[in-house]
Amino acid sequence: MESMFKSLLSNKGASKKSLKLCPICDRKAEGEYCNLHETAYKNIVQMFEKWQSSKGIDWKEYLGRIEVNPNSGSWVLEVCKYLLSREETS
Amino acid sequence: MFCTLILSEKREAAERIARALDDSGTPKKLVEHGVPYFEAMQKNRQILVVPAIGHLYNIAPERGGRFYYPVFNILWKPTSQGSRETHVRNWIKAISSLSKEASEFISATDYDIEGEVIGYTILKYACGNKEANAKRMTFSTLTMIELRDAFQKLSSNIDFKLAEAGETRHIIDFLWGVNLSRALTLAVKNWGKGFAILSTGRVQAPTLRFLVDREKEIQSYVPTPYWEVHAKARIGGKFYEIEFEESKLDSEDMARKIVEACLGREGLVEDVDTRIFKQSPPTPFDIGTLQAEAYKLFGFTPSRTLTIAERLYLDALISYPRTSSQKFPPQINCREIIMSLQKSREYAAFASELLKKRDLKPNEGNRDDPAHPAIHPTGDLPEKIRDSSQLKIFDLIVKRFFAVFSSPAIKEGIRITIKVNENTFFLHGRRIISEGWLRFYEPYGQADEVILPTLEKEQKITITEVSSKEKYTAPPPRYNPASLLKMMDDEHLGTKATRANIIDTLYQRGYLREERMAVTELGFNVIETLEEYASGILSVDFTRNLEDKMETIEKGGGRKEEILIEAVQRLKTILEDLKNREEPIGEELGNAARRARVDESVVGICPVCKTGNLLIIHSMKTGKRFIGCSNFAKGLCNASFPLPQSPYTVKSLKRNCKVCRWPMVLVKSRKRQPWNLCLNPYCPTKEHQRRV
Repeated sequence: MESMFKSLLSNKGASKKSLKLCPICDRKAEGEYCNLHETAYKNIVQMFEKWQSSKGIDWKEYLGRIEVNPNSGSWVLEVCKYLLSREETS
Repeated sequence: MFCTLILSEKREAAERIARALDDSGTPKKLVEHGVPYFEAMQKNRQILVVPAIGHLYNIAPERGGRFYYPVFNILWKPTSQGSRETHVRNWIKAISSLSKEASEFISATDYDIEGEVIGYTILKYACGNKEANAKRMTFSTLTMIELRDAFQKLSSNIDFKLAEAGETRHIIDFLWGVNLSRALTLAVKNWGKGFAILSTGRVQAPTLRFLVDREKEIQSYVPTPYWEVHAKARIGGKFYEIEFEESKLDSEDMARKIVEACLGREGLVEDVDTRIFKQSPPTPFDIGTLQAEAYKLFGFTPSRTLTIAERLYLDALISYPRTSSQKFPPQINCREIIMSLQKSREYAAFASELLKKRDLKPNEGNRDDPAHPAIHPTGDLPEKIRDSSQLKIFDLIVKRFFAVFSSPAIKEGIRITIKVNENTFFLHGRRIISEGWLRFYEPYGQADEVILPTLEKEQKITITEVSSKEKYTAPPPRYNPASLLKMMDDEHLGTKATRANIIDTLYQRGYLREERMAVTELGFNVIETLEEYASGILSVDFTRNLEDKMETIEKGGGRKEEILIEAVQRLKTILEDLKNREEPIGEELGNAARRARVDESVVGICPVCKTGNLLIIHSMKTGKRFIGCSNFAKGLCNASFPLPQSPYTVKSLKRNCKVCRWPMVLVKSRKRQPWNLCLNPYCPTKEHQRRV
């Protein structure tokens, strides 16, 4: 699933109808993300505890580790990237 | 002179039937309307054996046009699919013309649902309502003996239950397929700001849903770390890997403590546990197990295996492959088949050994098929080697046939428990005591041994290495063609004849890509849209229920009309849902189709600017295609590369070159094998071209 669609698709139609869009892929969002990235986000939050108890790392480092792990799903990678960029700008 | 018309499904089968029935063994080959057929002579009887080319008739709407639904008024019409249309018309003309000479009609198509429907429709429509009085010739191999025997034992009627079951299936599959596909396509046309042909079907949709669910698990997977502790023991000058009792440890700390406790310590043998076990021979191949085994051993897709097996059947080398049976009925003379195979140098030794057994009893499976036995060689040997893939499948079937009659393999499993400073490790070994069936199934059976030295309790062992390794959990694997077939079989989705085609269809529609069966974004969006607006289409329970009911028609229990009414009523409800929600469905699927087109054009990250994407672009000005960077429009990158032009087709590979890491495309043409093209003009892989 490619977040590159953000730059390639026109959002004209969407903004006219004031649809909430996923900040990662521009699909329709129910909450903060579309349902696919939402599932990935929930999994990231859920697994943090395990990582924390196994390796004693903080949230930011955890995201960084997940982002480079070859077994991470591609939506998970996209959410990590997004969360990390948010951390950097905040 | 009395004239009999025999219908067969394929040309090769027709030729074999004619040869078997002709008194001299040399039937005449004739042509009618460009269609080959055979004339066999028996005393005062002329036998015309005419092949079809698969289905000559299929279900079609009564009314023409494509952009409307619902479609419920249907009829059987000559098959019309592009260039095939002319062939079919000639075939029907030929059969129709020859049928005027005949006083007796026999259907000798493949004895299964599809074969019965082929015979039934030809007899009814091409021959002019001859189905009621036609006889049936049934056989499971195309050997001369079996064909002559089948001709002597004709059934007085075609199998109407099978024909009715087949007709019901065709009608239901057509109604669901055409109506659902048109509903989705028209939704996009009316509301999706574009046009895309989308399709789905009764079996396709639930199958795609399984793939989507698996893809969701994989793409939203977060791996977690675990640790393994490994150790090496030196015993009698050799080194052996020993495993810690817990294969996965949750914390690095725990792993480190175990390693520290064991380093520099001696091991002590606490227990030696030996178990003898028997491994039964495999069961005979049905089509599903043959496809699974061929995929595992040779990487052949299920549809490729089926095509090869059908070729071997038409050459009278194996029995009919589309069977779900794992049994050999008593009328199959297995001893005679083995005796025939003994004539081959390659199989002589195996055959001779089996023939020494007084009682040849196969290890049969549970599944049965009233129409055909399990797949088996006929005893005929391949005269000409056509290609290596046919030889592989033939050899696999023969070796399996031998293996099912042989004795169990007897193996010994050994587990040695070793204590290292209160920590428990295991050393596993295995030994074959008697090969049994494994020898007949070589090289396809796994007979790897791990021979251990003899160890006794209380014996001390030198531990040379102890270490821990960090690993990560992995997502569940994607389905492969074999595991998907098995899943469809377990869930009663489709039939043994149609499953492999469903998988091919999912690729053709753009819902799957690559050999690893990755679901495309289009596939996701179609399923999500259906889940939200018409979830009835995705119901595995309903599809399974319908399959079970259609099977009852074959057995004489179910009634076609009742089952059709149930299927159509369910379909009507779904179509109403789709119609009522056409606007949001059209918008979502329209967006999905647009994204799919964009996705197809994206080749990879631009290696020049590293922020844009390389796209396959078609120039409106020149009509040619090339690769350009998406950052060109912003004035940030003018990277561009040439591509092969028509008649070549070019597709993104979604993969990078292993040598230079640039993106790659797949180039296809009709005249040669497809090839992967690296976009880097200076890629080392192109060195030989530059020298030229």
